[in-house]
Amino acid sequence: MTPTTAVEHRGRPPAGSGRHGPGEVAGGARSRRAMLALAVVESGRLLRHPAVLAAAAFGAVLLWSSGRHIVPVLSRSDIATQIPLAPLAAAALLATNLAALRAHRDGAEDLYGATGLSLALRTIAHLLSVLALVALAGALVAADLAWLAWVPGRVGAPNPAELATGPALIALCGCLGVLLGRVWRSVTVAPLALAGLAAGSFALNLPGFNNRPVAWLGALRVVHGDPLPAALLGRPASWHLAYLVGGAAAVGALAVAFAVWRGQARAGRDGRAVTATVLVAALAVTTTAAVAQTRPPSPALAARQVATTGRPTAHQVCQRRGPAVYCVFPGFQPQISLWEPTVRAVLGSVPPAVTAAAPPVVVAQRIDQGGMTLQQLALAMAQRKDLRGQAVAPVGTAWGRTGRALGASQLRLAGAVAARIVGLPAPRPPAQPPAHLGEIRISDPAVNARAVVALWLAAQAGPQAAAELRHRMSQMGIVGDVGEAFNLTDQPDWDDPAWGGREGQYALALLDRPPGQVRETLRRNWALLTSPATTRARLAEVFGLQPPPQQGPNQIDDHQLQSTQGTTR
Amino acid sequence: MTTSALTAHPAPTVRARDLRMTFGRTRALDGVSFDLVPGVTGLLGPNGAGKTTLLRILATVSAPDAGSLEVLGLDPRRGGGRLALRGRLGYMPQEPGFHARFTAFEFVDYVAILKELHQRHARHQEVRRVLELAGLGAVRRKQIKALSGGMRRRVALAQALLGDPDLLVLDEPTAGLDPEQRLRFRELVSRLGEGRTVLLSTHQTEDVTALCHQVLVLHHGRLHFVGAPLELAGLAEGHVWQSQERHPGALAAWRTGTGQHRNIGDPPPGAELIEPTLEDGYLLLLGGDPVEEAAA
Amino acid sequence: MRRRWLTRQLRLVPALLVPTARAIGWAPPLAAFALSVGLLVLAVRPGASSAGSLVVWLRITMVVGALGYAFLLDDPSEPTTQAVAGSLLLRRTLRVALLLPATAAWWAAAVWRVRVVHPGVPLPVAALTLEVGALLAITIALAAAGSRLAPERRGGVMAAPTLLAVTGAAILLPARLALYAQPGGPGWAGAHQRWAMLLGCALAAFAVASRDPAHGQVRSRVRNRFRRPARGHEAGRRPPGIRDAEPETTRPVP
Repeated sequence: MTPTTAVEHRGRPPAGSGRHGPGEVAGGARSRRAMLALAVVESGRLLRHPAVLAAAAFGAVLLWSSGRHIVPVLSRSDIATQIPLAPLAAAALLATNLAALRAHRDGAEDLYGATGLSLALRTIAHLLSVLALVALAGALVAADLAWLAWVPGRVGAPNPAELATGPALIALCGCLGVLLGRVWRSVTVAPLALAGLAAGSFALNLPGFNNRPVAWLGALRVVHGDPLPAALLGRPASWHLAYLVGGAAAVGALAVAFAVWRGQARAGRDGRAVTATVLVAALAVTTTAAVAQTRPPSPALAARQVATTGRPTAHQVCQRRGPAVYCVFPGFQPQISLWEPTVRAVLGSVPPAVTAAAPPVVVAQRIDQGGMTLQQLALAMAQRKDLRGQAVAPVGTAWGRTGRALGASQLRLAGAVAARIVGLPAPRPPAQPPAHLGEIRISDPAVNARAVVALWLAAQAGPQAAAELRHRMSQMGIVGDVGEAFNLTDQPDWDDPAWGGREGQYALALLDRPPGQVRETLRRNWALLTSPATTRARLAEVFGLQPPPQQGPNQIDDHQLQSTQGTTR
Repeated sequence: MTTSALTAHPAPTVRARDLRMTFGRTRALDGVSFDLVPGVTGLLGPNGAGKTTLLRILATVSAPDAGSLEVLGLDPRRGGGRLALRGRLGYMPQEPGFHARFTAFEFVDYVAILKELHQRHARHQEVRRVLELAGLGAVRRKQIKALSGGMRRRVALAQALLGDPDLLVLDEPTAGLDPEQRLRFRELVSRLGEGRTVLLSTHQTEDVTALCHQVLVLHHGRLHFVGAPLELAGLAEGHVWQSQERHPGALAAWRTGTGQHRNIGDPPPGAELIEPTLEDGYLLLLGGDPVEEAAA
Repeated sequence: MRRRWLTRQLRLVPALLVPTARAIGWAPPLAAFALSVGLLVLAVRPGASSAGSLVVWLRITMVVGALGYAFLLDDPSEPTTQAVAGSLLLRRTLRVALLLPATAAWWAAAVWRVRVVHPGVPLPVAALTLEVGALLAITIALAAAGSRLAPERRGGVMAAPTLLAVTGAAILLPARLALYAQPGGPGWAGAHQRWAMLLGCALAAFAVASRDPAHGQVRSRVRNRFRRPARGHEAGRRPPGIRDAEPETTRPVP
């Protein structure tokens, strides 16, 4: 620059010279390119950080194991992607904090301060590098969905807002790590903050808080119980996503503001304006979303939940296939093909004449208590009592895929179908409303010979079903008197039959016999064995069984007909 | 530079035979053998030569993978020997660490406790003494975080002098010192070298010229030279000449203040030979690859 | 020989107490203790509660408090104090010992708070104290190991996330190996035997990781791989074709 030029443009820097005052935030295109290059380098370092890699691997394992057991209901699977990403969010917080503090820890602050990039621009680069972790989380979620999309019998569609919640949480934690690094120049703050956040989120998910909308102010909300049809979910997913994203933006803007203050940069008006605008906008979004998501659920939703539990048939679609009628919630039709083999296996051991003569078995889908309050449950119960419908075999919304989960699902359905085909009376709804959530009611247990036959039929659904029955009986042996009643499922609906413990022992004894033989004998003596007047001792005579040994103080007489008594647990 | 130590041929205080040390695939020390006698010995070598590794071994901070070492008559590989030895040596690491909130006095006092100087009164006297020796008498009540980089190195030097050690191991002690401080340091080390064994590693060949009666040159984990500085300079005898322009066949050449070029290598016939310095000998010893011309 | 070593080390303790207390960073452990007790106060409210849920909250308190311990062994003066007679193990043990009174007060406060709010619920205090002791021992073992492995001897930076990861893994252990058992449940006694074993192993690991670095190094290729060269040593990273000898001194005037 020649001296004459300087004189001509006295008072302001020459146009096009690209010179700005020291430490301005908006440093021109060159600074922006440098900032982006720094963001790329930091992203690479973040992705290689051992904590991030370990957390991503752990998250992948959790995703795999959570989707492994039941046939995916995608409106639940999307929510199930959130908890496995929590370790990655924790790693993001720690890794970005360490990256933001690297200059201070290694004594390079002075060196970096003398370069063209101010502390604020470097902070923005760190914030941008968080996007790499968000992309990693997104890739994990996408891979999980792709894997689940191949499973036969899957149902429903995922909610994009729920899918994006996990990555949004990672964005929030990453930005928080950068903010903590700018505010406190110590590596000890981030782990403590992480512990506090984790403990807080854990507290908000405890049963005391779980049903209150204020729990949405935490990071994640877990769901319990069976997957619900999408219409009943009532989760403010979009608002929660906006809450997390707004929070991330607000935290990021705060970090930049701190960097401006700490770096003693005389931020240009542009820079200050942009930061302030972003901060105010983000806070507005976050607050609005926070308020919106903590609204109580709408009365219409509550009414729908009550109606679906109290009068399910009104909301279901029925199809006849072979010897059974299947009534499902709209959208769950693909699962019928999963249930058919079980139903056919049970009915295969029944004499064909009986199947032809009896009305078709109704397999109806039921949902469990599903996030309702006690009052709603009482209302639903009152509606159910009024119904005078035919007895149904209930089946849940979560059908197992492998191993014990499959066995449990098969056993439950098969037990209910067998109870209907054998002619056991339908269970009566309980007289009293439940005293607290999660209370399990055992209705009148099915007893006597036909209950034994029904249990044996149930175990014919498959090898896993038989193994599950043995497992349940062995659990009973540990806990209490075998005279007590038991269910074939952990969360019985009102339509699920209960069984007497002694009958279970007899059924196990029958299972030890070759199934072909038992089937033959059963078919020949069907009318006798399914009569309400046949005792267990008589059944033992027919099959040539030794009565199983009795444990426990109460000795039960197999020669007498048991009367039914309801027990409450 | 004292020659009395050389001519007197005293018994060696440090005997190292065939020291080896490997990190991963790199051989940091590859069969190093030498003797140290009382006096100041300089350890020269490029970055990555293994100097710090060797100094750490002598300071009993690391143990070599192979080879034997006898320091002040004790074997540092045995626990008892190591403990006894640590009472008689002082080590100044290349990158010392401090408790920033401690004052210079408090930090050196802390190290003195760790060096088993129990008696409080005597210990405080000793701390004051070494701080004076290192030229920190005026700032001993100042917090270390308020001291400049050079002063912090002097704190590290002071703690090495605690307890009047018989062996001093100094790793790049003059890095970061200004010329006046370096001069004072040379004076100090020169005095310390009388009756003690001092081994210092450095990049500054003038320190070696001024202080040391023996020089070790380490390169790629091997000793390329053991001897007096004069002998190292003498290696370049007849290989240093002056010319108007940089000679193309020279190993190294640079412009001097007078405008002439100083060349090292194989001189052409009729070249104007000049007196070699220790640096010339060092360069010639490690020469092999051409070096970029350095700006004056 | 060993007794002589021990005697020599113990003689240093009285003089080392005050400087070590000044050298410890008190803020992280005290902040962790305060945070954990604060969480406990907020979480444990009067009302119906079972021993199981109270034990869960006490365990969360343990983990948060242990995070403060992770940074206890970070000592920036370690490079300077390598070649001294006072051993590393002594200095580290002294640091832990100086924090023990505060630790005891913290744990007592936590248990007292729970007892005050829920006086009727039976709390297995002795077993939980074993758990917290083992957890703290594991933390300092991780910190000591981290100091050896992490750059600049920042053991805390490695120990804190590893502690969180290890705790998470312990929650997911199968029932046979479970550490976090329910009070009064079948696995309680077995779990606490495992905790006692972990306590012993952690203390041993702490002692091994705080050994003199020059002590009896085994010559093996595996060890060589994990060792890193000393500072100022760019071993083997010379780009080819460039000489190392770069005299930085002023050129001697001929």
